[in-house]
Amino acid sequence: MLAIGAVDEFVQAVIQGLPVGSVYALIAIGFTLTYKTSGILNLAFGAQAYVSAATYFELHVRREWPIWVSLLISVGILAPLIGVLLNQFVFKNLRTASPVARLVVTAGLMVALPEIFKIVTDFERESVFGAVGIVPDGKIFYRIFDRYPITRDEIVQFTVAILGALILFALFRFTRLGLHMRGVVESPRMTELRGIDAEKVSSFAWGLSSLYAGLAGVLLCSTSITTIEPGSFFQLVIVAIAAAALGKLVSLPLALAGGFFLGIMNTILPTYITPTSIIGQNLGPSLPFVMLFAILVFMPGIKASKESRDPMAAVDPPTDTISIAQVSPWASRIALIPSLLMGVGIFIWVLTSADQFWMLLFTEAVIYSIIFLAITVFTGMGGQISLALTSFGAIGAFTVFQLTKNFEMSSLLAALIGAALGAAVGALLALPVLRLGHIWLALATLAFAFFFDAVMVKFPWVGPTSMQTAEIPRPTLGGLDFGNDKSFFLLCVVLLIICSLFVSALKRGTTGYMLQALRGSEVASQSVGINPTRWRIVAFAASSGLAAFGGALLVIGQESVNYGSNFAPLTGLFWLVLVITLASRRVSGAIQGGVVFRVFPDLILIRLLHLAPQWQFALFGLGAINFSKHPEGLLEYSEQKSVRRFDRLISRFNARKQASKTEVPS
Amino acid sequence: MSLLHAAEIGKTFGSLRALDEMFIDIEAGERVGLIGPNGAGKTTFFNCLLGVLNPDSGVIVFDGKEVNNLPVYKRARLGFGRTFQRIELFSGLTVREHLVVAERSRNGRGSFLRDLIWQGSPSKAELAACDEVVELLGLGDIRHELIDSLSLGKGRLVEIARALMVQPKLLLLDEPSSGLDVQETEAFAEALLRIQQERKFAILLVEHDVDLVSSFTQRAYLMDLGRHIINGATSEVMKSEELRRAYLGDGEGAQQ
Ligand SMILES: Nc1ncnc2c1ncn2[C@@H]1O[C@H](COP(=O)(O)OP(=O)(O)O)[C@@H](O)[C@H]1O
Ligand SMILES: [Mg+2]
Repeated sequence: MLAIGAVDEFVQAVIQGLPVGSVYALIAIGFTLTYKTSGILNLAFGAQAYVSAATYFELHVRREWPIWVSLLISVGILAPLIGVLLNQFVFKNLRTASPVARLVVTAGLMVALPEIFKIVTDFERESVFGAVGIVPDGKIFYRIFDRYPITRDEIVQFTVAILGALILFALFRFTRLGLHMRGVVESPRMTELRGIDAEKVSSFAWGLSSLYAGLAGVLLCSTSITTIEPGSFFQLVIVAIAAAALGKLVSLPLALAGGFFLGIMNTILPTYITPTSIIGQNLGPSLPFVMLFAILVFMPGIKASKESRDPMAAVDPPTDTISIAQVSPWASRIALIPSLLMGVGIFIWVLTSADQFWMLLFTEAVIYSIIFLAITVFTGMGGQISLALTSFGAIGAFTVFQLTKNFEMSSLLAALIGAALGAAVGALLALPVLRLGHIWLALATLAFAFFFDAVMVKFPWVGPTSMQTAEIPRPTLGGLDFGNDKSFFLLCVVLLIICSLFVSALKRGTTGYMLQALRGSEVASQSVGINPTRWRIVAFAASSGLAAFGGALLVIGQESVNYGSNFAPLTGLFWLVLVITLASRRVSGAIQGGVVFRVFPDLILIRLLHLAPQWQFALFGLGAINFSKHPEGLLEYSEQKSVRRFDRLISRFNARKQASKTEVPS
Repeated sequence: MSLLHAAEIGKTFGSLRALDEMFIDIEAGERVGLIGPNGAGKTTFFNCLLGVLNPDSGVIVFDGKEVNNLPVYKRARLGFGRTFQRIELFSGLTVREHLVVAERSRNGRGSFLRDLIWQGSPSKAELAACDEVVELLGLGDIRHELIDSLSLGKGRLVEIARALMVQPKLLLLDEPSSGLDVQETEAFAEALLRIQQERKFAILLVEHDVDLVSSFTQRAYLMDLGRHIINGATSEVMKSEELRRAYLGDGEGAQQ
């Protein structure tokens, strides 16, 4: 009896998993398609799905338009249009950009696209619950073999997704364009050499991929997604990446199989985990992240597949490096004077005349600067990307919470312990993921961040439970009491100065040299005896420690943990893209980032321009897109421009002096 | 006991037998050439010696120590120095900073904790050591230039300088003449020879261009299709029937 029950359960799970699996398969091939045709891991894939799903919801549910009209507009027209436009205005220019630049741009789009959509359509003005499928009465269910229940929605989901995939393969097989596309998928350069119009092919691929994103978004609304908000759709891109990674990003059929596999695992795994345990309760939604993490860490050959290049790659021009304009060192020092003066000016103003609101805002700006120094270390110096900054911030925050609550420790000491713990966890996480390198590393940290968010946070020894008050006391030090906002502000400024000195010291020291060398060429670094793992772990641990320290200070400042509003994983993406687009290579970039992040929205957007808060996300997305043109960062770019102008002035002055000298004898 | 002894090295890529029972022996202070037409497996062999690739079979002994399972950076510390066929430099660093990196790596004096107490900047002694090599290669005028602005010829010299900083016992060069014109190649060979005679390290020159090998090396190995063909005094190898066959047989055309 038991055996039959187990088989039954298994079959049931497979049947339940197939419809979702078919949509995942669709997503996986859509995602792989654009990766193969343009080399871009499109993080905005989920955002594209969101836009179509939201449009369908708006038209069909709210305005009660007929299903087919809503479907035609949202999926048939809007989705491919978005894909083609994005390719035309954004992705096309990214072909020669560095992997970091590509990731930043798509991450920016991922945040910005839904917000732009909301601003344009005023979408979230009312409830976004109650998504429906693409057939009437979708919840009616049938029984397969008179036994296993399946809803009409699920049947439709399965059929449409399979049709979508079949159409792609038919396209590939039977049309000229499909043939060309297959060529581009195999070797973009080879096809270019053969004179095939790669532009047209990639435009078509983006349109098609976007269509699949939209279709998947709408299809999932009838089953697994019930709230039409961007967060629910973000999962899709993780699923897509995980499935595509199973196919090592090289093959569409394997990606398709990967999608099915993930969909079925998604329903089978939870049946084997005690549903009442913390893991059991929270694993469900984070399963894609866990699987992605596991695939990246455990699947052999992921790293190799990163490096196995186009057979024609030898004809590539060398990848372009960010060239740094060479200017006299004191010219660049002089260029720092205005920002320094401004910093001192703000500091004095806050101390003497700011009210409590602005005082707290600037205190947070200072604290965020400390967090952003983590980006200076790992990305600016190390040239790599971590999307788990929020998790480390939260580790610092939780450490302070637990230590002050259970041991009545001084919160400042607890923050230091939090930093150490963050660094230690960072080093541990680094061991399996650092070997992945570049994009895969970034994705693994992203998966970690979401796993941390969905599961780890819920453990009572990690975060505050919903029953607990998450209060955190301000520290005292000797006779000083930092309960006072002004003295706390001063404390944070001092700590920021210490942390900045710390990062400058790393930058000027061996760590900076080694990381710069590794960034320039890993093989050459090894050839002079540098152990890449050692220095990458150092960078990751130092960066994680800084983020944890900043996270701890942040919650001490707010006197409560506020996990959701401070440390949601997507916030980390926002931080990263913000700092990178401003200037990630310099310590001052982190500080400017802190001010822009915390003060700019309140001051400029809301108080001065009276815009909705969403505008900051939209603007930020545009900034990220612009990043591909100025990879050194916008602030650094404009500063360099003025420094160069200044430099020219000096040399012209010198030249004139020279000229007047030589004129005398003649 | 020779400085480098490698024997029965085999490597397969998929169905391609890229190396088959390949071997080499190099004495201390010797200049040895490894020649063969394009696709012969020279780079593959080179990478197996350095640990960039793991051979499927065979043994590599360096300076009396078996190095088969050591990663690249550990072999480098034992005394392997190298340059790259497609030049590999540290974008964003100046010429001298390239040497500082290598010097730091060699003396092992840098650490995260030293950085924290502001002891991380290069010391006078380290800079002096770097300047010495900079002068040796005639890079004095451009020591503070960013590497990104240099010509390929200068870049190759910087690669040599960087490799010299770790005081290699054996310097391996993969097609150093590729991308250089005749004059640049001559200048390069002249500088290299001068330094080698001063510092007495061994050289393995991997080349497709027969001219450079015949003027520069004392002994040469000829390989084709992943296998050893002949070895001996460079002048003998150059005159050999096997060489003519390897190069002409491939439809490559001998280099002059
Ligand atoms: N990573 C690799 N994967 C598959 N084949 C390779 C790889 N590296 C080299 N080969 C093949 O091995 C053979 C030898 O190449 P290589 O060692 O580069 O020759 P050489 O340096 O003598 O020109 C060539 O046929 C080449 O295509
Ligand atoms: Mg070669």
